[in-house]
Amino acid sequence: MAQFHGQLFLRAEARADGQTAIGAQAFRAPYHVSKPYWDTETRTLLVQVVNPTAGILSGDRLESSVEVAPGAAMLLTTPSASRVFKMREGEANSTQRFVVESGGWLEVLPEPVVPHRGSVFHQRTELIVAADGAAFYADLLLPGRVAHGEAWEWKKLVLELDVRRDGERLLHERFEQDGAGLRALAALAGAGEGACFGNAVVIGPGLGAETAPAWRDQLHALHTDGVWLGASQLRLGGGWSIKFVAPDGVKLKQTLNAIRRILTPLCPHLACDARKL
Amino acid sequence: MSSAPVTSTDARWLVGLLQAGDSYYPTGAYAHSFGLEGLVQSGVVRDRTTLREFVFLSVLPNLRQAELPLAAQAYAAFEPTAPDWAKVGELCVLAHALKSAKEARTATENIGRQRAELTSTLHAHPLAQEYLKRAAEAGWPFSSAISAALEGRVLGAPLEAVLVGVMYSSVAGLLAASMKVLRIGQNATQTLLTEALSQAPALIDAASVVPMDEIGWFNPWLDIAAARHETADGRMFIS
Repeated sequence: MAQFHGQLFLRAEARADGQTAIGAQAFRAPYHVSKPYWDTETRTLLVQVVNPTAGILSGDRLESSVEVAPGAAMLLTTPSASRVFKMREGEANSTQRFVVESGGWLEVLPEPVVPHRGSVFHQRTELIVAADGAAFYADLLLPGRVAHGEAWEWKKLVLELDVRRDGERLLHERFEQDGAGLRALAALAGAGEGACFGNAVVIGPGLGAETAPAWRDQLHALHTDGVWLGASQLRLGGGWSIKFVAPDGVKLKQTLNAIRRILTPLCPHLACDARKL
Repeated sequence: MSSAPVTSTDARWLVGLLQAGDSYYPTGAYAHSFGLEGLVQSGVVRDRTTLREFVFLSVLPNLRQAELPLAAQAYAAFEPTAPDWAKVGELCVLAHALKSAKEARTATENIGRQRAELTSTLHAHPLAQEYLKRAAEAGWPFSSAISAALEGRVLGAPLEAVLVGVMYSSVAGLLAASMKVLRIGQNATQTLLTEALSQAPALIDAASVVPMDEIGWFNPWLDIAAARHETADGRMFIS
């Protein structure tokens, strides 16, 4: 079985007419970048990163580096879930670095990670935002191939997220669990076999002004019908953590869409529809 | 544990750690439930059985992967003859960055500040005074785990004893809070405490070797409950 050392580099830049375009790009298998779409309504460049292989296999190393230059705005998404396949030995690694420069906007909205039985996957994500840059990042996790009766059966999953703004470390999370450990926590919380997780952060210059904003109450109102949701301000202000758990993948996506709608008045680029491509 | 006779030097740090681990020691920890009240309000922790599961599935893993490794790394950085102040500063920021819920950061900030200031006041040790000076100058946030390491160094306590102290105060503090938010008595919580503390040797061995870049652990439901506790209509604890 071929092992991939995939690499992706993208730099979004603002042109003289104010539109965002890809100023530089480089990628190699399994990464492929679709033709970007300029969304005139939200003034956001929509870019889809495609992995045309079946999924992530043992030994795969994926490295991506995405930059948003001053004044540019980009939504980065994927067309399908990232399946992490069973590994008899070894592991797969993904390293992601997102940099938003002054006045830039970046939304990272990938489809969920789906770790299969016996998989070992380590994802490290860095989000670095300039003082007056802004970003929305969301990680989604499904418990496995639920339709096949396979849930919480991965061997090891590590999801790291490090967020810095204006050089200051706001958040450093490390989610390390085997499937059985997370299944036990889900059972304790009364969540079913299909429980899915979302971990989002929103960073922006206007987000530190209020410590108890009305929009947080709107977010917390989504905590109903089996959905759990909590939003809390990150250290030093200027950013918020939004964690959510849903009973299934459909509810998870609906909750994420509702979060984006609620935050749109604060971050207008969130009105960009990732499914326009 | 060594079976060697206790020396007067051991007695000095031992009484110091007993004093610091007592609920009478004014760190303000009694005002925090460390997220438990939020989980009780959301119906996750309801009785002794679910409290036990929470301790073993969430509290102990967090100690093993986050609080104890932070204390161990800080203990090394506070080497009295050559403190690594850059690493101390990095650990202070990391201790806060690991906590996405504001109330969890407030808890560690308040307890850590009080404990560091008490250490300086009670023992007038240059290491504690220098730490407070540097923290004020650089704006380092305080952390209960890092202040425990500082106090251990000031008392001359070995690393293992400092980590036992951190584990004891974390689990005992949570169980003491549980008696105020659950129908549970002292005997039930003491048996739970004994069972949890029996994990100390394995937990401390594991925590002592966690490298800086692998520090961290979180329970999504606890973080959500802690975030929601900030806006709860009624609450007994600050966190």
